Amino acid sequence: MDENMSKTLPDEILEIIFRSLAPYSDLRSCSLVCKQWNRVAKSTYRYGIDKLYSGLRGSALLQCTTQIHDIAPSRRSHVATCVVGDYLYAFGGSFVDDYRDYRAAFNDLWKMNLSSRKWERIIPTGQYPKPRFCANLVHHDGNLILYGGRMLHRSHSVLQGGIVLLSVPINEIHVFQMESCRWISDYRTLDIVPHISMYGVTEHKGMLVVTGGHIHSEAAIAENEHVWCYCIESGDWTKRDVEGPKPGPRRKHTQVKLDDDHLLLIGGVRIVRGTDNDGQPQNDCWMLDMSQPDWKWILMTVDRPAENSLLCSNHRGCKVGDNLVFLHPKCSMNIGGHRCGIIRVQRRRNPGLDALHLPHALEPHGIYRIPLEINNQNDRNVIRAQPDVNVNGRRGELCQDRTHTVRGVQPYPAVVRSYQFEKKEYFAYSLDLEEAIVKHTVRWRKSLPFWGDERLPVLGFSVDYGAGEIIVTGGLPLPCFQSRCDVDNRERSYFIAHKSVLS
Amino acid sequence: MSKIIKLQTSDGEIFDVDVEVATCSGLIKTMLEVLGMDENDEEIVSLPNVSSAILKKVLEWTKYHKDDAPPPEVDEPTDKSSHEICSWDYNFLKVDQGTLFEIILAANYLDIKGLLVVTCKTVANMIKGKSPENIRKTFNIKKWFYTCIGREDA
Repeated sequence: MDENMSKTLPDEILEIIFRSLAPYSDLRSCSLVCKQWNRVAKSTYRYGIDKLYSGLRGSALLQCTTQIHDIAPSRRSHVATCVVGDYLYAFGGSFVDDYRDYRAAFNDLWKMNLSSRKWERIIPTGQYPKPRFCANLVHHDGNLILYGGRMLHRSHSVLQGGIVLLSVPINEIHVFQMESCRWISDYRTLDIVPHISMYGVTEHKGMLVVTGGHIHSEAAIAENEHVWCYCIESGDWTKRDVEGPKPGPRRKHTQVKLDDDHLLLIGGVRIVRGTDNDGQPQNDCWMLDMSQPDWKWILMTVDRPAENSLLCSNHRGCKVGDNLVFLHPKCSMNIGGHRCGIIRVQRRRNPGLDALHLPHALEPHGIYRIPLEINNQNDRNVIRAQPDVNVNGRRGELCQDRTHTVRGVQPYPAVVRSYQFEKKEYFAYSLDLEEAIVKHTVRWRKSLPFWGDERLPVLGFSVDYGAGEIIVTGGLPLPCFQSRCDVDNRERSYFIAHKSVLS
Repeated sequence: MSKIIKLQTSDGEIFDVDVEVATCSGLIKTMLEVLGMDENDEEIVSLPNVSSAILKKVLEWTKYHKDDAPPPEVDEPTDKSSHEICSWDYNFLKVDQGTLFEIILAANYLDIKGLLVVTCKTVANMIKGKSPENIRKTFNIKKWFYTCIGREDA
């Protein structure tokens, strides 16, 4: 074709073509092709972002796309993630199986190319961090800084009669140099730095500011109320005593950077003195004003408080422009909109019977909800099995065969399972941060419900913001949807963007 | 007994098309609603922007896809099903670039949303993973220097 293509395709058609491209390197390449493409690519890029904002405000529809990966990090939760340019970096994480009998922590580093949506494993050199989870990765000047987290530690317990695996917090700092692909360990001031995990951290003017977190010892709980600062250049840690009222000791909160002198903290779970259990979920919102030499915590006025008290206590929020976004299923009482039975399940010695463990953060009192069997003619991915028959108290085994229906009485007790993975409605709750610095007010907004895969994780997932889309990776779905019921066992990540963005 | 409608292309050729197939095109559908269909009259709809070769391809696509569910409106919550191109469409669109662009323009003019979406995705697939120079070579575009987009959002 000899004609100049840009003369044959009008702008509106080019825009439809560009909306099918992921808004990263492909769109950037398009903007460098010619003048017309540059104009249309820029407007498509801006369109995606603006539409996401209006979706978060509730004036447009969002949608959730599932991306299935053939190569991906293995199933894990509490991964430290960070978006840098066109890549999403993910480090570590932990895996817990359904019965909490097996637990592993990881220290591998992966990155997802957001254009092609493919995971690549990075093999760095240098001093590898220990396998850990519940840590944070912060990007600064071509480096990824990894601090703290929890690791698994073998210890001998007389009471439990053997070796047990405990998770303990650590205080090591490692820096990953992206250019040279190396890990460097920073041992400079480790003796004074607290061991914490599930803390909040943001980078301000070359300094990491760390608040809250789960500290292990009784004495250290008082430490939780201080703010720690780590100077990236010199490696110095300083503890700042902030005068005046401050947010109580907490962990699992969300901390975001508002600008170089302000950070915002919301939610989390109160740490109860003397115990290691989760305390009260909290909804209050504080801002740390670092513009003056004397820092100050300011309690923010929350306009239209969030409907759900669990919203900011377990889920990680993600900063999208001037909004702090939390994702939540439409109704936390139902599982996927199925008719739910409420039954009381106790763990029994016979492993053939199902022992459902829901993490105590969600269901502390032993009442569990499981989907009942659905008789649907058009079922796909449904495994039907006879009800569990505990034949003369024999030990059972799980039904391994998932490819065809299982009928009749099994010689060993079979698993009662019948799930159909459906779409489920979710909301994106966003905290409007526009007036946070000036007027000390934040406002909750709710998006319109959007449909997403039922298997969207609810525990320990990571939420990040790409260009005009929210990326959910990692995490574990509800225990009753764990992998053994899934015919297609591949890893998934989810992208939430405005409906008209086709990619 | 389905009604036939006559479509006349830019080069004067007249095509007899089932109304059911023709109304996949939003433009023709609107025209018929506005002008009304009279059983006795032989309506000839003139399409001056579409050549006969291209109309043949478009009609082939609409005949195959006429029983598809209409693409969802933007405001309805729907199941975001596979946005892959189906294999029939993929083979159907293995044509030279000129024809592909003509089909896009015809689909845009005739307002056939499904065809427009699938052809645009095909072009997008030709762009994916290419450097700007490669894209220019593929589409034979004259070189231009300009600033590129960055992360403009906060």
